[in-house]
Amino acid sequence: MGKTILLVDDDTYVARFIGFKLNKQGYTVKHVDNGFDGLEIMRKEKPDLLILDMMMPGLDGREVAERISEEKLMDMGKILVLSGKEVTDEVKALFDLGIHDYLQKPFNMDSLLMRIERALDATGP
Amino acid sequence: MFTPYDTIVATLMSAILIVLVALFMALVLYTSLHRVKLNREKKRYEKAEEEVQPLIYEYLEDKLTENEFSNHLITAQHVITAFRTLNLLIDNMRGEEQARLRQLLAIQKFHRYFSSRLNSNHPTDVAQACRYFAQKNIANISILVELKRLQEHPYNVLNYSATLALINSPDEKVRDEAFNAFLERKENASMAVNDIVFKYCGKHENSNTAAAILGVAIQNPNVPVNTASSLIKIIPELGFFQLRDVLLESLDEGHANDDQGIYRATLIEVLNELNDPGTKKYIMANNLWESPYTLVRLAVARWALNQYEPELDGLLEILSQDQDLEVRINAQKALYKSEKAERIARGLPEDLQTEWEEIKRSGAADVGFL
Repeated sequence: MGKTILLVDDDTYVARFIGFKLNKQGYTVKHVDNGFDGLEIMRKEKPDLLILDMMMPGLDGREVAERISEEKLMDMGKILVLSGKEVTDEVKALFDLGIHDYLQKPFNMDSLLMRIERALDATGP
Repeated sequence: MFTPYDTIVATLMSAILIVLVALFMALVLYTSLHRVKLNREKKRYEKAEEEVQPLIYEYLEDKLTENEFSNHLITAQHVITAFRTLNLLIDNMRGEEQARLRQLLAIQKFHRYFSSRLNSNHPTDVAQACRYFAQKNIANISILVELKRLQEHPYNVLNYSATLALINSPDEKVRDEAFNAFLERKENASMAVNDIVFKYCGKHENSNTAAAILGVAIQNPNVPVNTASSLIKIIPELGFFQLRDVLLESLDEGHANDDQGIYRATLIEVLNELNDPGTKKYIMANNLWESPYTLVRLAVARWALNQYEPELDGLLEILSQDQDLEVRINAQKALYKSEKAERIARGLPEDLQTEWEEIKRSGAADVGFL
């Protein structure tokens, strides 16, 4: 069975496309459109990788990452952040928390796939 | 015993009651029918999404040609949903995928549909049509004329959407005219101004050209004060530091319609953010600490707190007695950096002494004493 990726992004159209591409690559993708639902899933299940959008209403990506770190819900090295912003202090703070990598929107799908593979390889099974 | 008068009143009351009940029932019926219509419409869009989105993905995987994709755009819902999806994906993707997605927008069915929607009575339809043309290089004269007409529309959303389309034109003259017309419009929302400015500046390969146009706009008396202030605020974010002299000159001259001090206050705040050493000269030359506008005095107090030097003690002493609490707090915090601080504090009226203790504490924290 393929590895499970949780995708937390309020942009449903983009998330669906990412989901489609990842399914083709053999990954099982779960998508939620807000941080609260993302945390709820994280508390029950352990995805192999989390793709987290920075800018979301309610809980934003940074707050979700902070809660994951506080509650030790997953290895922070299994988090890949998607952000519309350039490397700002906010993104640097996420690296301080130990996230694996970040990719700025607009992005190239091949770059995302490459980062996903690298993150999964780096963190092991 | 009922009198004839009572009977008439009772009959009238009954009639009114019946009319009210009938109106209420009609309202309930109308609301229910409207809800059913909306639900049906929503389902049609959901179905169109389910049908169209996988086709876009297949097209990106080279499993479908543009013509084959076009053949699936049967209903208006298909066209709208396909455009929404393409628009969002184009904004979020780059490289080959983005280029291929853009190619799909050249399909005639999109052009025909959105050209017809530019004259729709529904503002949301018109705005969406504008967004379609914002993704294209508009060469069609009749579309340009229509978009220019919409730029004069009183609805902000239509004006903004039409401007967005026009500033994406490959023709520099069209872009510049649209940009200036937008800026000179009254009551632009600051977010719309930011968005348009970023997109407009992004169209210029040479940032000096974009900066020069922005500099002229900041000093243009026909650009409303609020819009000019929005332009000033985004200069640091745009990195247009070559506009320092324009900002200083504007601070010196002010804006003809600045009847609340917003223009000068914003200039001081931005120059403060840029730590510009030339600001003092213009604040002093125009006695801006004595401005009738609280916003300007507050900006001066914040600037003096940030750029403190003993030479500012005089104006800070005046501002520390200001009628506005926030101005006083900032001025007094700045004065804490001065040797005269305690003397000035002792000079404060009795009712301000407690406030001073608070200020002293926070001022001391600011300068690292606590």
